[in-house]
Amino acid sequence: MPEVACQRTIPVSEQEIWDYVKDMDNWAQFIMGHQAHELLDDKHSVWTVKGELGVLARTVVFEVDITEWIEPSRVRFTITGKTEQFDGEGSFLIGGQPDLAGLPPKRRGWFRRLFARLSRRSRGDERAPAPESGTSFACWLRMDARGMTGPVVNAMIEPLMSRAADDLAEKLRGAILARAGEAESAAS
Amino acid sequence: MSNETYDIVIVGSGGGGLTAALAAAERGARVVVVEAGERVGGTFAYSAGLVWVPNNHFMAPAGYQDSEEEALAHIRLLGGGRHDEDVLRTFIRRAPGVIRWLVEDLHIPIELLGGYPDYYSDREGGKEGGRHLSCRTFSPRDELPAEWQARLANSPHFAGLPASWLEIQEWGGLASMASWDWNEMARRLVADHRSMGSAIMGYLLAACVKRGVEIRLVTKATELVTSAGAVTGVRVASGDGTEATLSASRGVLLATGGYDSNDAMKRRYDQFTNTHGIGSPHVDGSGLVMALEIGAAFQVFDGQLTTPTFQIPGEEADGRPLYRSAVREPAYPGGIVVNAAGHRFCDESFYRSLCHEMARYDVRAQNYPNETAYFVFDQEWKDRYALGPVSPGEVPSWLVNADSAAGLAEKIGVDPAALERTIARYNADAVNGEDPEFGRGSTKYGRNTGDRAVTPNPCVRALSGWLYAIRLHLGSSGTNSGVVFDEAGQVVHVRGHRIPGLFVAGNVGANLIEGLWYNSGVSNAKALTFGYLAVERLLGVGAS
Repeated sequence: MPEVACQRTIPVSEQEIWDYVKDMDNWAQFIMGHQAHELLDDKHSVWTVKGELGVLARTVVFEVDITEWIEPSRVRFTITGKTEQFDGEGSFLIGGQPDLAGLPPKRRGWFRRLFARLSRRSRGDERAPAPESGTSFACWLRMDARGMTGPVVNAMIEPLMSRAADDLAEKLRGAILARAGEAESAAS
Repeated sequence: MSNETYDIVIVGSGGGGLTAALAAAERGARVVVVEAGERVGGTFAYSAGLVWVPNNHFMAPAGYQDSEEEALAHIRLLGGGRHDEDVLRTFIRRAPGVIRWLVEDLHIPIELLGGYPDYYSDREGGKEGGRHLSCRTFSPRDELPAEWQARLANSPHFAGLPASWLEIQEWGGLASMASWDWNEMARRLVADHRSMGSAIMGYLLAACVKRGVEIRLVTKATELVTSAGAVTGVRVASGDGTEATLSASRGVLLATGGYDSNDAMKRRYDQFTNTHGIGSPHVDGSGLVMALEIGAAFQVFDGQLTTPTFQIPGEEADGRPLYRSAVREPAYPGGIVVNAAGHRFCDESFYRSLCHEMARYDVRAQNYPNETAYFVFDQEWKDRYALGPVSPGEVPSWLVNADSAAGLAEKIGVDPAALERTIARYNADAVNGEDPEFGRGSTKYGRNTGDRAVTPNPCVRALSGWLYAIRLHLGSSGTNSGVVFDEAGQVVHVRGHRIPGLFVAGNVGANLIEGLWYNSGVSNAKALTFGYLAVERLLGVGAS
């Protein structure tokens, strides 16, 4: 089943990242193919996203249920398709130890290994180019299409998820930096 | 404006265009293919990739008997007297040789699709198998240089089914999708394997690349160049707006397809115009316009090559709503099609019957009584069969359903009492596997399309339990009207003479082979055949 992880480091505080991402309206439009979203209550929301699956595009509606909300460092959630047969889960980790602690157990695929390595690098645990100082944030997402065509749909969405995760992380990073810059300007 | 000279200029990179390019390249001609789109393949690449060739060289060794005379008699009987005898004879005589050339000289892995019957196999000259050919899957990464791998068009209708027709037959057929090897298909999908029409186009493209055929993408032919009544070249505009004249010392072949993605032309030429293009969006009638501009004769036929389709809300391809083929689904037992009045109106096991009745105009009522049509099916149907990409048993939120005929009718805006009566009347005979009203499953083709596990009639079972409905629309995969051409594909002028230097292959030409008859794979077969024959005459070689 497709799984994707990405990680960025931003020269702002953990709280500044949290203040931005805690309100989904701030970043919803950064999700590739975002059409609409609706907050049902503080833990449940419904999303409509249009995804490019190879040569065709499909609009899917899914529900996101927050299963863990630890301010200001961790959000975990599950995803359930409403128009398609799929489900999934994911997490968003800020600062501190953005490693496997936030990920579900018993899944140490290559994505998780890569994720862990990226995290260690960001903390300077490995010999690597000096990372940008600041706070790291990391996203992880696993999806699983069910039914007869599940294997084929999973094969189609894997590259889409990779692109979407990288795109989201980059846009989040830019938006948080911009907000921090504005706050600094206002203060000075 | 630059001027470049070739022996032959080919407009369009579908099956007809690339076959012509290969025939020309094999004979040492200087040839160029211009394609308006960003990818090679045209509507051929969007198709199911079936090729209908009577008396092909695969048949006899596999135990299928056939002859030119039987095929001729079949089409003469069913074409409504609208075919051109010379064009038909040439097609029947030459098509097997073109296939043999593609297989043996160019090594295109075309294969026999055994027991796939003619639509009218029970009529004179019809066959219950052997005339349909298909192709193995194609791997761009293995067969094409890197720069061409992303330039092969893929069909949104078959992109998620990287399997050949033969494999699908071996896996139990289209009614048994649950037993297909979906893990193997996922593996192929990751490796970008192609199937159906895109696979044949892949092999043709690979053969062109290997032979150094020049193919210019994002290059739109805008006008034919003439001199003293002869076509001597084409004016083209590339994606950056650069214009050029491509001179053709031998002539120009238009392989641009019909006008199925051009609504204005459909309104001008066809009686029923509310169809949705399901082929390449670049098939916009541009070749027709260029030919008509210089006096080509135009022959009107019976509208478009229509296909029943349905739409999954929000699904798109090529920047427009995707209409998915529903050729098979209405044929499976446990389903019927009704109009807005709640009445059945056709043999749903034969999609041509469904399409023609959906497009029928009632001059007494002055309306299209069956244009609004719903495919209605029951819980057992839902549990056993796939509706396009929707798995058996899966009930997406957009699929209308109810626990009774009256409840379903109310949801789709049909008279509840009428739908109840329709289902009751159908069920009364269906319990015996019969459909005396419209004859579901009364033809070999219909039975082959149904579910062979259901007896005595693979297309008939009484509806019961929970019911579902989905709106049907007519999709257009090609057009029947087009330019008049002769037995080598040379275009005929409106005054009756041949236009020197101008040829057509594929749906830009009118239905002169088939008249009012049709069989799956005919459009592809005539594209391949007349692409080849046109080059023979252009170069003054061969047997035509």
